[in-house]
Amino acid sequence: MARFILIFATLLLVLFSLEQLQVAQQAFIQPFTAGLALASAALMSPFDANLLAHGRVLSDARTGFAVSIESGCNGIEASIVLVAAVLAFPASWKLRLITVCGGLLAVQGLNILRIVSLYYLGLWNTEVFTFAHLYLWPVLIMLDVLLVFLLHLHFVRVRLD
Amino acid sequence: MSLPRFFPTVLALLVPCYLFWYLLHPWIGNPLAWVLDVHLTAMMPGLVEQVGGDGVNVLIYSTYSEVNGELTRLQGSEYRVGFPFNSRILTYALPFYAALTLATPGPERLDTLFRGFLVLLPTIYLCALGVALQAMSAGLGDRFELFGGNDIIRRSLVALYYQLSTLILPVLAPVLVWAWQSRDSTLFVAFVRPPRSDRGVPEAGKQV
Repeated sequence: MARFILIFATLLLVLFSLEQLQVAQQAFIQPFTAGLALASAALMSPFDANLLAHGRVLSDARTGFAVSIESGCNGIEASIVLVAAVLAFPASWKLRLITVCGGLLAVQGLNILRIVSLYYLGLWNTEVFTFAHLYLWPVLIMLDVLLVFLLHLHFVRVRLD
Repeated sequence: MSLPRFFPTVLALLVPCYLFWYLLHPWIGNPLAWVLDVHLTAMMPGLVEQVGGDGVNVLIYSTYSEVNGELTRLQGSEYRVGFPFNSRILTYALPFYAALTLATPGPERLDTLFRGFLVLLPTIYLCALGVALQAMSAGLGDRFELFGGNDIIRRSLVALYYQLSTLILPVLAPVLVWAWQSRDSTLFVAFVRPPRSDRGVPEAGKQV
C-alpha cells in the first residue's frame, strides 16, 4: 500500500508538472482542447442549427451565449490521475495498457457529455450552469476515474484468482 | 454491496449531501476565512492587512491601494486592493466524500465521516492557501514577495501549487481518504482486493 501511494504521488506530480509546461500546453494540451470543442460541436450541430463553433468557443447564434473550453475543462487532470493510479498498481503491462486506453476513452467520452450538458445548461440558467460546472461535474468525472480504477483492481484480482 | 450498486448509491446520496453543504456553507466558509486571516497576516504582514468573507467568498485585503492604475502603500483610509475567491470551489470535497462514505457498507459511518472531515478540512485549508497565494502573486506583481529566492521559480511554484489546489486535490483528496478508511469494507474485500493467500496470513478478528 505504501509503495503504491509513493509511486502514485510521484507519477501524479511529475505528469501534472509536465502538463503545466508551456511547451506541453502549446504542443499538446491546447490542440487537444480545440479537438474536444470540435468533437462536441460535431455531436451537437446535427440537432442544433443555432450552434456556432469557432476554435475552442461554442456559441448560440440567437442569444449570443458562448462557452470557451479552457485548460482545466479538458479532462486531462482526471486522465493524469487515472494513468498514475493504474501505472502505480502492480499488474501485467498488458492489463495496464488496456485499462489506460479504455479509461481515457471513458473519461474523455464523459467529458464531451459534460461540455454538451454545460452548454445547454448555460443557455437555460446561469446559476445552474455555474453549480454544475464548478461543483458537480468535477465530482462526476472523478467518479468515472474511480469506477475505471476499481474495475481495473477487480480484473487484477480475477487474474490472481 | 457490489460496484454496480455502489455507484448509483453514491449518485443518489450526492443530492442530499450537496444540499446540506450548500445550505450550511457559511459554517465552513467563515472559519476558513478566519484561519486564513490568522495565518496570512502573520506570514505576510507587509502584504496582507486582513482576510474576511461572507461565508462563500473569501476576500484578502492587501496593504496596497491603487492610484491612477499604480499600486501604492496604504496611507490612511483609502480603498484597499482586495483579492476575492469562491471557497466553494474547494469545499465541495466534503459532500463528495460524505456521499462516498455513506454509500460504503460498514459500521459507525458517522464516526468514520467525522474522522474523514478532520483530515479533509486541513487539506481544504492548504488548497485555500494555494488559491490565496496565486491571487496575490497575480495581483500584486513584483510586490509579491514570499520566502525570497528566484522570482520566476517562486511564481512557477505558486502557480503549480494553485493548479494542484483547484484541479486535483478537491476531487482526489476525498477519494484517497475514503479509500483508506474503506480498505477493509465488504465493498473492497469482496470485489477488488487480492485474495488472502496473496497477502499473507489473515489477521485474527478481521471481517472477510
